[in-house]
Amino acid sequence: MSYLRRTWQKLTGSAPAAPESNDLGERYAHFQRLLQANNQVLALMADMEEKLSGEYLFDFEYIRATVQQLLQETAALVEALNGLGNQRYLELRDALSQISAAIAAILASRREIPPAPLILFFEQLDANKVEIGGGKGANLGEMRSRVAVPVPNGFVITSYAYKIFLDYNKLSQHIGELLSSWSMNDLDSLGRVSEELKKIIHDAQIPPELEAALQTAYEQLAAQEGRRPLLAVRSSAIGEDVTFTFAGQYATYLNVPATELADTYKKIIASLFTARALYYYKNKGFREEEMAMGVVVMPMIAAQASGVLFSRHPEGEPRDAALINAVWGLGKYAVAGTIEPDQYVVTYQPLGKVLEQQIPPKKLMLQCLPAGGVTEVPVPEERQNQPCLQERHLIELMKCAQALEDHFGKPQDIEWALDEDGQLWILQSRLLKIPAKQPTQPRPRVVSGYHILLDQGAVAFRGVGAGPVVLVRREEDLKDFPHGGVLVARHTSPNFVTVMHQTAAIVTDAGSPTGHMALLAREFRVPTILNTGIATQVLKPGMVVTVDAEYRNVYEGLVPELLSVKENEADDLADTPVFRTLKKVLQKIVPLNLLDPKSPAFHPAHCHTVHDIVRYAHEYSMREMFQLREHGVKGNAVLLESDLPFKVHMVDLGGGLDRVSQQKVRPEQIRSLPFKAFWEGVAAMRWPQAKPQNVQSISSVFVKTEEQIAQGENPYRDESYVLLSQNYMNFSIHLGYHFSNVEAYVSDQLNDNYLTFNFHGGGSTPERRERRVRLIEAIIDRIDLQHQRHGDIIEARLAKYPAAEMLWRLTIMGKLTSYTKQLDMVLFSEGIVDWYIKDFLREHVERCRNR
Amino acid sequence: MNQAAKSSPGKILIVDDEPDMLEMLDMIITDKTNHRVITTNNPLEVGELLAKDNYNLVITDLKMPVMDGMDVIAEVKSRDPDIPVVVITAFGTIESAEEAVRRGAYDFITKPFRKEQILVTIERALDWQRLVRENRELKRSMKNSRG
Repeated sequence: MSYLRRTWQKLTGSAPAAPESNDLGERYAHFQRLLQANNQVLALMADMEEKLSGEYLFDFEYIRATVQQLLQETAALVEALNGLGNQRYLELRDALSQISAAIAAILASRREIPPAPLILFFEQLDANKVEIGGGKGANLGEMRSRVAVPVPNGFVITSYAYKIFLDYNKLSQHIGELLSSWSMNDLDSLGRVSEELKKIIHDAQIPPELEAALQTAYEQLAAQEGRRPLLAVRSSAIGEDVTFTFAGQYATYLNVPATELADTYKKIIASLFTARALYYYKNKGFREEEMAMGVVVMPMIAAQASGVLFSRHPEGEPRDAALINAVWGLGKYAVAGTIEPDQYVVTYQPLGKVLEQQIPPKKLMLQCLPAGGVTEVPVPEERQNQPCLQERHLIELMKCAQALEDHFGKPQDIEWALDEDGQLWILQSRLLKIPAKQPTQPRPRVVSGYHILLDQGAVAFRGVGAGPVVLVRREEDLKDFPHGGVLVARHTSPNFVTVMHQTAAIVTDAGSPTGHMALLAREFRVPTILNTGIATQVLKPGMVVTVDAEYRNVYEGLVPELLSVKENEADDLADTPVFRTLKKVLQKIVPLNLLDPKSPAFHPAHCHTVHDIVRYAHEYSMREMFQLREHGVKGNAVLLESDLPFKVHMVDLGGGLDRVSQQKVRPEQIRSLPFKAFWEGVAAMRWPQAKPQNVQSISSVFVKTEEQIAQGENPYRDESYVLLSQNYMNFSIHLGYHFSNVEAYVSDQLNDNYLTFNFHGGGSTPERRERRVRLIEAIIDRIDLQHQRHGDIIEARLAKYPAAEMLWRLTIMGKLTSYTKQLDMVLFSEGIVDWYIKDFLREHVERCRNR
Repeated sequence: MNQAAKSSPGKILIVDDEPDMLEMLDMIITDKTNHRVITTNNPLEVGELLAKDNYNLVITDLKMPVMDGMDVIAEVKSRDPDIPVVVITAFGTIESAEEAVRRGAYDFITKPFRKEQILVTIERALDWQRLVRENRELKRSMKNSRG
C-alpha cells in the first residue's frame, strides 16, 4: 500500500492529507486498478481463445506465460476489490486459489501413467487406451475389436508395468543423479551417458510380479495359438511425438524366444535413452511419465512376403489409388531400403485393379531362424523376378485398406505380412502423412475476377464460408434459418448461437471480436466478420456470397478458389499435446457460471472459473463505489454548482479548488488544471435544455419503463465524482447508463503527464451501444489517444505530452463526454453515427488544431 | 521467380529443444508444402546433421540450453553461408532476434505465430537461397568466359 500512499501524496501535493481522504484515495486507486485488471483479463482470455482456432503455432511457454499473467491480473483484481471493500471479499481469494491450483495441475501433468493391469491382451484394448497400451498397442486393439481386418493374437506390456519397473529399481532417482553429475556439453559426453544408462537398465531387475505376469501372458498366447511361438516385440510409445523425436525410430526385436522376453523388454526400455532424450532430460529434468511406454508382444509371423501399404498414393495422380510395397520374407527390408521392393499402384474402383507395377529382381530376404533371431538369405532364383503378390492378395489388401480408412477416417500407413499358409495379417496401421502435392501458396488478399461487396470489419473467427444471405433483424428471423446460410445482422447477439451449427458465416454491421458472441463463433468455428459498418446495406437477402474471414472480404457469388482451400484444411494441430493442454486450461478460465447478479448463486462459492471471478468482482466493485458516494465522503465533498444538468461531487485533495463556501463551488473556483480544462469542454457544448421541471436529473429521460428500473437501471447513477488537486483529476462520470473515468495529471514535468480514459457502455440497445463505442473510438483516435476495445469497454491512454497539448485534449474529452451523452437519443442508424463523428471532428477537433 | 522454381522441394532442418514445437512445425510444413523436414531437439547434433546431408534451410529456436540459436547460426554459416537460417523467438525477445539477424540469420519469427507466417517466411528464405546460388553461378561463368 505504500506505493499508493506515495502516489497519493504526489497527487495531493506536499500537505499531509486528512485520514478520510487518504482512505478515499486508496479506494479510488483500488477501483482504478480493478478496472484495469478486469480489462486485461478479458483481453488475455480472448487472446488464448484465438490461439485455439488452429491458425496459430504456440508452445507450452505461451500457455504458461499467458496463464501466469492472467492469474496475476485476476489476483490483483481480487485484491483491489478487497481493498475497496475492506476485506469483505476474502472468499474470492479462496475461489481463485482453487482455480489456480486446478490450472497448475493441468499444466504440470502433460500426461499420466494410469494404474492398469501389467498386461492387456489386444481384445482388452481400443483407441481410447493409448495412455495404457501406447499408440501401437491401442491401435492393434482397436483394429482387432472394431475393424474387420485380420490382426494376430497378442498383448501389450502396459505403461503401468514400465512405471513398476522404474520404481522397483529406483531408476528415476539413478537417472536424475547421472544426469546431474555429467556436464554433457557435447555429443561425446551425451553418448557416454547414454551407454551408461543402457547398462544400468540392462542390470536392473524385472519386478517379480511383472516377471510372473509375462509368463502367464505367454502361456495364454501359446494356448490361443495352439503352439509355443517365438515373438515379435515392439515398442509402443505413449507420446509418439516426443518419443519419435528422441528415438528417430521405434525399437523392434524379431523372433524372440519366450525365455528372452524379459531381457528384450529391458532392451526396449533402454533404447529410449538416446542422446536426444538425454539432452532433453538434462535440461528439463527427468520425469518418468514423459517417456512412459507400452511394449507390444505378438507371435512372430514367419512371412513368405511382407510390406507396406499406403492407402492413398502419396504422389500419384489420381489419389484414388493405393501404393503397395512388397518384399520376400520379413518386412524390415521393405522399409529399410536394403533391397528394391515390388511396387503396385492399385485402384479402389474397381477394387484391386493394378494401374502400375514394378517388379525388380529381389535377391535377398530376411528370414526367421528356428531357434530365434533373423538372418539374411538369398532368395531362391526362381522367385527372384516373380511378383510377391497375386491378384487375390492385392484384392484382400485393398479391402483391408478400405476398411481401415473408413474406420479411422484418414489415409493409413499399413504394415502387412503374408504367412507361410498364404494368410494375410495386418501388423500395424497408422496415420499416413502425405506431403502436399503442391506447396500451398500464401493466398492473395483479394481473389481477382470476383465482385467484392464488402472489404472491411474485424475478424472474430478466421475461415471461409459461403451461402445465401439471411438477414436477421429480430429473434424470430432465426426460426427458419436455412442450413448453410450466411447470417447477416446489424449487431451481434448471443442468441445467434441457436443457429451457429448450421451457419456458413456471420457478418455484422457492428460488434466486437472480444464480445460474447465472438467467443461463441470461435467455439462453433463459424467464419465471422464483425463491425463492417455496412453489411446489412450491401448484402441482400437470398444473394449468394462467399465470406473470406481471413482478409475481411465478402464476394458476390461462389469463389471456388477460396472454398477449396477450406476443404483442404485439416486441423491436425488440435490433436497435439500443446493444443489439448490449452483447451483444458481454458475450461477453467472461460465458461461463465455466474449469470444473474440477483441470484443467491451469484457468490464467490460458485466462482469456478476466472471469468466468474471477474464478473463477480466487477459487479461488486460498482456496488462498493456507490457505497462510497452514499456514505463515505460527508464533510469532504462539495457540489459543483452549474447550469448544466449534471451533479458533480468534488473532493479537493489540495490546491484543486478556490473554496469559499462549505457546500458549493462555482466553476470559476476550479483551480485544478486538468479539471478546469475538462469542464470547459463539458460546458462549451450546447446542452439541449435546462434541467426539466420536476425531474431530478437528465438521466430520468432515459428511464423509459418501470421494468428497466426494476432491472437495476437506477436513475441515481448520473451522480459523478471527481477527486482533484492542482495538477490531477480523477473523474468518474455516470451519465445515463454509461460510466467513464478520466484520469489526468498535467504539470510542467513532461514525463509525469498522462491522461487515461476508460469507457464502459451500458443502457440503451446493443446497436446503440455499439454505435456509441464506434463514435468515441473514432474521435479519440483523432486526438492521438492510444486505444483498445473489448466489447463495449474502451481503454485509452496518452502520456508525456506538453501541458498545453494535454489540456487541449482534456477539453476535447469534456466535449466528447457531453456530446455522447446527448447523442444517446439520436444514434438511430449507422449513417447518423458517421455524420456525428464528422460533425464533432470538424467542429471541435480540426478547428482547435488549426488554431 | 518462376512457378516451377518456387515449388521445387527443399530440405529443411528444424532445431528446437521443445519436441512439441518440432512436431507442430513438421506437421504444418509437411501438410502445406512439398518440402522435406528433418527435426532434432538436440542442437549439439546440428554439425553432424549438416555434414551428412544437404539442407536448403535451417529453422532454429533461439533460446536453448548448452548450444543456443546464435551458436546454430555460427555452425550453419561456417559450413555453408548460403543456407538461410530462420530464428524462432519467444515474444519479448526482439533484441536478441535482431542480434541473430546481425549475426547472419535470414529472418526471425516471434512465437506465437500464424501458420501462414512461417510458410511465407520459408518460401522467401528458399527463394533467397536460389537467388544467391544463381548469382554466384552467373558471376563464376562470367569470370570464366572472360578467361
